[in-house]
Amino acid sequence: MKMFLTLIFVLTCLAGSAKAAPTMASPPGQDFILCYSNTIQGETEPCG
Amino acid sequence: MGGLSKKAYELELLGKQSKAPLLLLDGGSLLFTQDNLSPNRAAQARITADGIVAAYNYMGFKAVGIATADLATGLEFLKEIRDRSKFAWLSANLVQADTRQPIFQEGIQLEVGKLKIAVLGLTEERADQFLDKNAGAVILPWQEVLPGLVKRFSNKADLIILLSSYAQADNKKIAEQVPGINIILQAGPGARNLEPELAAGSLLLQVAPRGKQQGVCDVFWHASKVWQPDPTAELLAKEANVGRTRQQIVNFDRQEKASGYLSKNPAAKQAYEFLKGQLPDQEKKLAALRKNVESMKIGPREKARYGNRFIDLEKSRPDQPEVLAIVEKTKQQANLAARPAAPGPAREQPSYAGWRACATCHQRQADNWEKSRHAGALGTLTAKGQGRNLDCIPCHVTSVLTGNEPEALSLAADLQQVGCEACHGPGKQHIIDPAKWPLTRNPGEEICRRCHRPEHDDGFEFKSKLDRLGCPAGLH
Repeated sequence: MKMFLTLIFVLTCLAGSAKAAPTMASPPGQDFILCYSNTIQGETEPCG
Repeated sequence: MGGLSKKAYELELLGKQSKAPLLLLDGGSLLFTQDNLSPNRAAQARITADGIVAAYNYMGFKAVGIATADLATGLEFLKEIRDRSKFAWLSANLVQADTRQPIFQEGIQLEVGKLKIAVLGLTEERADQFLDKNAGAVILPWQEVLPGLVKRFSNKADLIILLSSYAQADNKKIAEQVPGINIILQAGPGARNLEPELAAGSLLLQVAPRGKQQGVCDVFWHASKVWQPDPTAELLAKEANVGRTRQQIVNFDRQEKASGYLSKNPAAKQAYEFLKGQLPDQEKKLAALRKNVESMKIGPREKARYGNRFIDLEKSRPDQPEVLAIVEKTKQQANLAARPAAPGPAREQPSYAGWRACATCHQRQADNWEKSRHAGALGTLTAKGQGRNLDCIPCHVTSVLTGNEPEALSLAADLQQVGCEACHGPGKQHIIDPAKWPLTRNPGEEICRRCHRPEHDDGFEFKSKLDRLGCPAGLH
């Protein structure tokens, strides 16, 4: 079971393609850069 | 609202680094944390909403979709907010019940670089239940308004973007049934980071909620208005995967060298071997993809392309000073606006005893707790000038539940911490007859997770925290 869970953990790490990347410049040649967000809803930092 | 200054910094940086113009849009649910707010909380929430709008004004947002949570303090407030916004609030299906005329703008047309871009908005029908029945407003099904709207704008726009607070399944139906929408920005329930997805002719984009991340999509438009998946996105994802694999192998090697970790742990050893076996094949595929992407960049553009990524608005990133000032000022104002639920002396909660009552029997545990950060939880909030912020308070005291936050401002002194009963449950009956009214002896992780949620505590790890905070063994 432990072995299985470890493998799942590793595979989950590998499958993180939708994770955020650090800031980087866009490649050249685009017509515009769409910057989008949703559901800001107040707090994004710990309160205290 | 602390992440706004990070967002402003990243967007400013992106603008300086890129020759192409930026178009800043928000899918919706900008203003409030809940779909329905009690009058007690509305005053403070409106101040925060005003601050968010001031920050969006500064950043240069062009349009925001109207979603359910934006209606939480009523339609009239949203109209006031609209009048203070330098960007458009969009909803084609939030209409006057009698005339069926839209209350806000259905869409706008913008000139972005050389392109004419139409931005339209749709509000999820679930929002209808939160509309004040006296406001004379209803939310129509998208089928009634969207086809005609898209037709009107498609004559004059090169590209149409829809801000939608519908769920992804509905957005896919929209894409299938209403041709001509080129991009759908999703802000519906259950939103999280998603790799862009093509549905019929539309590109669906979605970023995680609560402003922790920023979606960025480079658009290389083409007159055919047909999307071709940009291999750059796949390349970046594959590069990140290979980087992670390499790093994990290095970490395993380091642990093995330090403590013989792999030799002692067969499961870890198997994972290590698996990673090492995968790496050459991953590197080979990455090299092939890189070559392919390079050749595509040289060739002529035959279809529209895109490259999408998500910027992490981490705490360690710098703040944009002007937006930070807006955030700080707003927090101060919101903090001052909070009022106790009822005036008068400090009140005890009906079923909570307070930590000193617990200590009369469980002194060792109380001594341990007093050294912890839980004992000073409200103090950390007060030190940040947020001691009356109703969004924050429930997690910094004992006994206050969401929906009842103003109670926190008149709590008894022994409940103005994250005390014993925050984890073990209310103990007033327990102190009278412990045998008859036993408490939860070992509260589980889910109790902690009520407050240590990812949006407040990214790095929360139950076991290590329990090791530091857990009560000493034994009853007394």
